Amino acid sequence: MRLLPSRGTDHARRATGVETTRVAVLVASKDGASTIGATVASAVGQADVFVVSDGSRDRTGAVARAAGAHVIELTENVGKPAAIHHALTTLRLAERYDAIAILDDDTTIAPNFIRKAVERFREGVAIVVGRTMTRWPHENRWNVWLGSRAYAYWRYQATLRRGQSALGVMNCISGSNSVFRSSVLAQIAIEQTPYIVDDTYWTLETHRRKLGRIVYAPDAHAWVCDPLTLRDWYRQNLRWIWGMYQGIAGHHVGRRVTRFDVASVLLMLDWCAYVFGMPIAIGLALWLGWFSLHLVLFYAIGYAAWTLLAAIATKKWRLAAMLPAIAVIDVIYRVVFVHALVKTIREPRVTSCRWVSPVRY
Amino acid sequence: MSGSGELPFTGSIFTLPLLVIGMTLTLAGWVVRRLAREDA
Repeated sequence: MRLLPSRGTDHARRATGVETTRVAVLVASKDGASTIGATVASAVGQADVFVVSDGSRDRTGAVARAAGAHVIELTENVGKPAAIHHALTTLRLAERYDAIAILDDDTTIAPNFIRKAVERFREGVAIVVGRTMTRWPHENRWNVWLGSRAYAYWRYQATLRRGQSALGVMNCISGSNSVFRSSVLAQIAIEQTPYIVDDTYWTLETHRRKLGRIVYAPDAHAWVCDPLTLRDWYRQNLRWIWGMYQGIAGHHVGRRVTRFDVASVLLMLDWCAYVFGMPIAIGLALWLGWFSLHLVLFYAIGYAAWTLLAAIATKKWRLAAMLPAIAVIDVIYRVVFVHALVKTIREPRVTSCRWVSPVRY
Repeated sequence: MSGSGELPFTGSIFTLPLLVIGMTLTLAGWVVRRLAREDA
């Protein structure tokens, strides 16, 4: 397998297991001292690891350095895309490495993550997206927000994401664990993205500029910290969907006749059906006076079947017990879709891509 | 930084072809892994 001519140390080359591919891991972190050590430790045996401490006020830089990373410490908080851009330009990473994995500072990757991702870098592939899983420690085993996210990740990646990957129409990458062809990242990683979610901008630029395919690597596993409370969960989802809507508006998604645009329009129709389908069905049933068990059963059986499947596939049996909570959270998710639309109308672009991370654990 | 965009939306009727392709690939991958494990 060959991405580009290789240059640099033997360490990264050996560690990837793919002789001609040189991989760097790049992490931007603000006040991530509590998690960055584990992130670096999970990656340092697989590639050269670089951490940009983005104006941190804690010991992020020291902890990352102790774990084996090369560290850049910025004195001011500039936001993730600016921090990534700074590292790329000052360290000339795109020139020195064939592929660059970007991880979040609370992501840990499997020991074979880089090798599994690099195996997917066939001709014409621009970005390889790893499989995201919820870090679900024992002390939080009955946290319904983690349960709901674990369920959503599994269902989304086993169905929609895999189908999108097969047809080359992925509308979303995992900013927490994706691997970029260096030459592509150098073109899309601008200093300030106009959207609150930087990887939405990167995804859409890759499609629009025809820089290559985006593919999903289900065997490249990564674990992320997800929100533990309603407040954090709501804020994170709101930011994600707001960023996606900003991208749709800013990149005029759905206004061209390409496979990606057609698939995106169908996805947007799905969002409408998802958000409005349930209230319309309930309203009609109440109005027409035939509110019956059938409607409840329709949704209940659907939720139960998918949750049970997720419990079996992930071997997390408590997911089945969380079925009522997962169904309720799914209703709240619809509210977030509407809220994000209002937010996008009011703020279609941002001048700075900064946010407060959910509580780490 | 924590919490890069993921948007775990699961799709429904309008993306049914994608869902079917996705589920088929997932199932096929699972079967292949099982067979490989048995061969080993």
